[in-house]
Amino acid sequence: MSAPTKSLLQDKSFKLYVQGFVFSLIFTLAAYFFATSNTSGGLLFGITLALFAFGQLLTQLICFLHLDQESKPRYNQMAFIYTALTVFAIVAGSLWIMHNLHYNMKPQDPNIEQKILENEGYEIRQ
Amino acid sequence: MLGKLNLDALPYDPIAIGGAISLIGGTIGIAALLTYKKRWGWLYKEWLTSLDAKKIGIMYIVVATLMLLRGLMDAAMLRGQTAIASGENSGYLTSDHFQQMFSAHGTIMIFFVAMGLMFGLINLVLPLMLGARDVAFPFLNSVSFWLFFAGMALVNTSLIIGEFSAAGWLAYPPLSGLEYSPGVGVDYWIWSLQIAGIGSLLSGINFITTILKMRAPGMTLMKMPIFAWSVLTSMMLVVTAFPVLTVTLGLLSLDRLLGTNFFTTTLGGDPMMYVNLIWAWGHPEVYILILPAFGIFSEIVATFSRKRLFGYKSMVIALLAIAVLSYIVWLHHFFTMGAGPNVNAFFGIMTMIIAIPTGVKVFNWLFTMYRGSIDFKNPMIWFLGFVMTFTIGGMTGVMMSVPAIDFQMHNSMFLVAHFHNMIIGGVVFGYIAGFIYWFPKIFGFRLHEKLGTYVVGAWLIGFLLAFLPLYILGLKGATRRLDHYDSSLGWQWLFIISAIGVGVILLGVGLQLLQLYVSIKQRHKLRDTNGDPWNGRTLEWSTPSPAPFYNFAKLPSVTHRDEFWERKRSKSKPDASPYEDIELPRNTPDGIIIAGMAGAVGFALIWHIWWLAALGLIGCIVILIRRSIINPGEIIIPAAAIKAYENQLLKRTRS
Ligand code: HEM
Ligand SMILES: [Cu+2]
Repeated sequence: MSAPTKSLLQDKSFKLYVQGFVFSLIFTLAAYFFATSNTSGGLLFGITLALFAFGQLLTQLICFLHLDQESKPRYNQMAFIYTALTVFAIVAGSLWIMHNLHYNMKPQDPNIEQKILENEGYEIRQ
Repeated sequence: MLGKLNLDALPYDPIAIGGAISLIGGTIGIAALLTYKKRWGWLYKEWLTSLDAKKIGIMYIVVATLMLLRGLMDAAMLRGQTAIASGENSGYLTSDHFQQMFSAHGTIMIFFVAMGLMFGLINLVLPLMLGARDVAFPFLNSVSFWLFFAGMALVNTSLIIGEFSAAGWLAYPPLSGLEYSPGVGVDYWIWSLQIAGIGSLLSGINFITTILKMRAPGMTLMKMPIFAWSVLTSMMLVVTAFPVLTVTLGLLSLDRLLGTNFFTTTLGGDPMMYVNLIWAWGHPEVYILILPAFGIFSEIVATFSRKRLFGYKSMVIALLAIAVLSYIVWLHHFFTMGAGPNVNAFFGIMTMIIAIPTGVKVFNWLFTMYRGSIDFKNPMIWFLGFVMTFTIGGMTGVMMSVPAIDFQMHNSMFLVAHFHNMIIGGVVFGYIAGFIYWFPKIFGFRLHEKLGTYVVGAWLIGFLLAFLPLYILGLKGATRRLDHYDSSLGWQWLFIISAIGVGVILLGVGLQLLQLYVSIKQRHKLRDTNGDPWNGRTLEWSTPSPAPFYNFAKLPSVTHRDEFWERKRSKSKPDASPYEDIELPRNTPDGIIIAGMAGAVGFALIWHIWWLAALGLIGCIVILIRRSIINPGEIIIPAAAIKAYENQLLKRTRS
């Protein structure tokens, strides 16, 4: 099949890609400068960063993966749900596990390093 | 100019030199043979630049087989070492070299043998089974293969230049951090996996799209052969799990390259986060490998029992259940690292639950065989070997899913025995069986049966000899990665039996190569004349063997799950519609170029040669952009040519 000879700039999806590019840059830079200029941390800080990440996610989904424009059968939708499910499992699971580890080991217990080294089973190389 | 690279990177101790020389010698040997036979042009035109999924599949399998030999040599060296290194005798490997071989063995076997065989087989048969002419994105397929190749090349380069990681196949920090591994070994490990991993991710996308979009008309999802379902679920896991690996390795390399502290305890990092993340990929990876093997066995059992697969629907549900459940069990890989009872209980129970859909499959196979007229051809004999070993492995696995037991067993030889049980008995046996099963379709003749039976025997006996002693050793307290032990422990005889077992496996592999050689010699006698050597059930058997490069002269339409079987049963007439032109993608070297540059980037990052890294990266991007703007187009094979070719095939079949 020969490619359509329309100019790139008239192409609708091309415009969407450019928009996506700009937005993804904005969200990345915003998050970076926000994080570097703000050293206090705290809940609000975390939430703001998460919002930037969410904006980034939407940009990727709409501008690059075209999740909003789909015909039947809804494979994109199914793929999205499956991905969301696994992301949820990994994120929630990791938070739960890491929280639990910290509870039992105290945050950043140096013993954990020793334990991994022992578990990995040989005298440490010089 | 050359970063950290200098002459010290060349090997110096005798065993390392031996490895380097055999690698260089082998490469030069192959190159010389190609030059002597004047085959370079042929190799380039017919194979390296080809976008035909079947050819890409064969290249995957060739690379994976070479890597299997390398992985086996490593394993033999490891077991040889432990067979003699008791008490006074310290064996022939230094501790450091032992750890490197151990890490190389695990890495190569998982990423370049098991994954390679899997992608190879999928490429060979998936389009044929679906009644399609090719995969959805043929060019992407070539890129994937060459990225896989580049990763493989990097691992092997470490034999000659520098060293390989000694931090195990999963490279836990702090061991893999700069403090304990200042050399380039861990960087080789990281970048070869990054590059091969991107290839895997692209393949995953490619095969999912192929299955969803390229099925023959009439083939609904529920009429798809079960192998295609197993590939679909496995690739779902690939596209969701491999990004986790990429990010984890990316963070580790930031720690090593830029001095960040994601996984060090200083400055608030946490090595346990690495362990957590790598297993969030690692557990799904196990199922990525095993699901297609299940699919292969399902096809084999149905074919050789002359019955339709029992419980197709339950099989599909089991596959989908595994695709979800495998994301909520990963903690069982580090039960003992400080998680509390609630967490352990949850993940322990989930692990036991995931055994249920797996058990369902075993029963489905048994019911398929029940009252079937079973034909014990080679693939079926592999299946029997698989059931035997896999059941042992499954039971020891469920044992270890009990956290209390795992506290005894983790990090022991028991664990090593368990997972080799699954991975050899399940994955390797499955892929070998699939290879034998589909071999005639791709090459046009069967493999020698009798020799094949000896091969199964050798693998099975060798496997039992090599790994049953490890269960016992594990119970006695031997740990993983043990390169030397006290003679008073009385372990040596078990290690010697295990080493003998490895020898028997090597014999089996030797027999396999002999089988291939003999079969090629006797190919006229073993010729598959009608394209259906096993009385098959699915569409791939409806084409002549070897399958023509366009797969189907006329795209089939499908009304039944076992379409080809139904056609044979109802003696349906061949499709009499006229031939049509066929479009096929043009060969291209772009895949090789992109992967070559990616490999160069990897090498440059390992040795801190920054200009080369930048150059390679820019090169990759330029080629990709060029490729997406300038479409090289398709070649069109006119209907008349197809007709002539098909008639010729038909004539050969009749004679
Ligand atoms: C065919 C015969 C094989 C033999 C004789 C063999 C032997 C070994 C040995 C001796 C070790 C080191 C165990 C230790 O000292 O702790 C090992 C580890 C390992 N093997 Fe194999 N292996 C074989 C096949 C495979 C295959 C097919 C795979 C995967 C597809 C595989 C994956 C691994 C991995 C991942 C490890 C690291 C385990 C760990 O971290 O404890 N092996 N193998
Ligand atoms: Cu697991």
